[in-house]
Amino acid sequence: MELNLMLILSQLFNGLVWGILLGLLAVGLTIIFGALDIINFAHGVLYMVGAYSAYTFSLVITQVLGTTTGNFWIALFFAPILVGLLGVIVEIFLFRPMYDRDIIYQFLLTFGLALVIQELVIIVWGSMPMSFPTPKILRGVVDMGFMFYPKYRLFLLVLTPLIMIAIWLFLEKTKYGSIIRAGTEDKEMVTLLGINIRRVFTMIFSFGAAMAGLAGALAGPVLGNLQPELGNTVLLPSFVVVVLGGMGSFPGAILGAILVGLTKGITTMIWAPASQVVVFALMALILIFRPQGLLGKR
Amino acid sequence: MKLRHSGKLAMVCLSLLSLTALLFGAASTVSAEEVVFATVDDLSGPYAASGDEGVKAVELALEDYNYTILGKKIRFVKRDTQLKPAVGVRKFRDVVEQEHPVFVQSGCSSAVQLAMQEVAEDTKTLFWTQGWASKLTSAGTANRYTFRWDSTNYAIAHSSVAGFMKKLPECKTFYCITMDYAWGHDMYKEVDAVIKRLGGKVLGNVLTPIKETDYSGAITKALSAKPDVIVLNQYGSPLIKAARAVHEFGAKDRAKILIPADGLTMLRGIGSEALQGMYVGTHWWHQVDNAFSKKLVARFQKKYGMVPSYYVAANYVGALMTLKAMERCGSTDVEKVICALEGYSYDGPTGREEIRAFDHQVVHPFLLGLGKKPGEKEYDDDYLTIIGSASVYRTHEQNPVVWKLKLPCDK
Repeated sequence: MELNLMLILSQLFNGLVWGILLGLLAVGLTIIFGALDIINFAHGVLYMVGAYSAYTFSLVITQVLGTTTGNFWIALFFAPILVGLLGVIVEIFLFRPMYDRDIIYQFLLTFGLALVIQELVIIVWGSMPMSFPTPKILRGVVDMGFMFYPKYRLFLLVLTPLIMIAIWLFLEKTKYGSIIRAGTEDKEMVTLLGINIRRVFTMIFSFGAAMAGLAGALAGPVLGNLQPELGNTVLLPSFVVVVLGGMGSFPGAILGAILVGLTKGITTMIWAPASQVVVFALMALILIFRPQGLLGKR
Repeated sequence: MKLRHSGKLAMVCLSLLSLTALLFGAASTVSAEEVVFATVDDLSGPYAASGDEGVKAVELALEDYNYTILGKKIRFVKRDTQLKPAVGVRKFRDVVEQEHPVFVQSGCSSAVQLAMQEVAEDTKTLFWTQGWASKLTSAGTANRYTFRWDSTNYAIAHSSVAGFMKKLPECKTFYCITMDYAWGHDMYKEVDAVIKRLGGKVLGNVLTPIKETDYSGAITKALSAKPDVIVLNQYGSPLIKAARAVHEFGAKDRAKILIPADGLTMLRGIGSEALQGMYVGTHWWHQVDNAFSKKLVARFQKKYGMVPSYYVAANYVGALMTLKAMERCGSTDVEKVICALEGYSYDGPTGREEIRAFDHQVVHPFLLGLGKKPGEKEYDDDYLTIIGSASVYRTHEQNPVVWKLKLPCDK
């Protein structure tokens, strides 16, 4: 029986790690949807670009500084910025002409963008899997008494909630944060207040993209290796999280992510082949009782 | 009256035209000055690098013959399956109907290859298949036009699992982490049989979806059963993810890790940090000490600047043996080439190899290696120390293949 308890606990941990990484992605996705009304199918590839660029940054930093200490942390800082800048370019040059058009144009645009970015990644980095090293001080496992658990995953369980709190404080307590929130709630009012809504949109998309990039960079050592299909593997689950939590809702995204992560973790323990389907079943079930999602507004 | 005349004239013209077409058509097939070799593989998308290796391998073999066989020019055509089953089968059919190749090579997923294999039989096209679809030479699916160099899952289990159990007799209990896919199920069946036959015990098997990104659950489950050995019945990118996760969770400190089938391309993804201390089976390894391998490695490195994987060796052998068979029988006719291939034995990349006549499986040793520590490596691709090899294939009684189309060879 003690053995089973250990298994359940470690599965809950595994589910949480997956959930919070998904949460970071979903937060960006839901904010973008809330403000721009765009369902961003390119969100998965932005996550992939985050992971690949973190990999390259740490290689370059290692060569420049001649040491591997600290390279991951610098990469973790620069990768989201790079993806954020990519977001600025995409929003200004591709999304802006599309806001007034039918939703099908936006759908095709983000879908096409995802394909183009994926092919670009193959051109730049190649299609062979590349091995992403774990930062030195976080290698190995910790004996927690009741189980052994990888240090890096424990680190994620501490860091990611802190990042989420920081995002929440930014959205709730700062001027820019309130502009973003206003943008997601009432665009007309923001414009009437004399705020340049175009700039707000650019800011929001770039912010969402940077979150995806950060999630990619953080996920690198957990994934262990980078592959061009990385974007596709997270896109669908993060959509599920957004729909489940309520489209456009920040706390909903986090709640949804944790729920999805835990459900997946527990299912893996009981019957692994169902672990990917169960996430969709959960979504269907919740939508039957709450069509607007857990924390969504009608 | 006039109308009838012009009608007649038109008729004559038409029949003349069709007659010339017929004559020219017939003439062009009889005295064709060229033969076509073809690759139908994943040349774009996530597995493009592997498809590209297949192309390079065939090119190398054709270069050996200066792109000429029996005085005919060889033209090499490539078709991309885009990793999509429907596209793969269509491309295969297209290339067969348009180019009439005397040799087609492929190595994509099981389902696609099974479909391709049927087309090969329908169109009487020589088909060399590698990779996933290990059942293509088994009774029930094998056909006269299909040849395969890669070992079958039966051979893989009997050499890597049995080899491992011989080296480490103290390991008695096993736990499998198997990909939920036809290949994984088949591999598990063979591994399970070998372990039981040699007196070991399989404590459990956890199935993981083919697109799984998080193996933590499966590994935790395996570790909680406290086995001596964890077996990863995974292949391709799922294997890379699973092996990395095994390392991350420190599973190597609490159990031995055995990967029945692996290859250089996947080892590069796993990396030495994770790979060290794992037991790894492979079809071929570039450090194998024989003249054939040394020449292949040297030529491949000179031409392409990289170390060849087993997939290169497999496809190189397929193309080269076909060319040699054409030389021996003095013809590029598919039926004659097949007869010349059947039962032929030669010094190949793994040593003495034989193309079995009854199922068209190439019989050759399968290797077992041990992952080197990063510090012990002499160069980047120096991942393994080869510690054993075995060549155990199903016998004719165990694999009672019957050809649907039977055209006996005069021997």
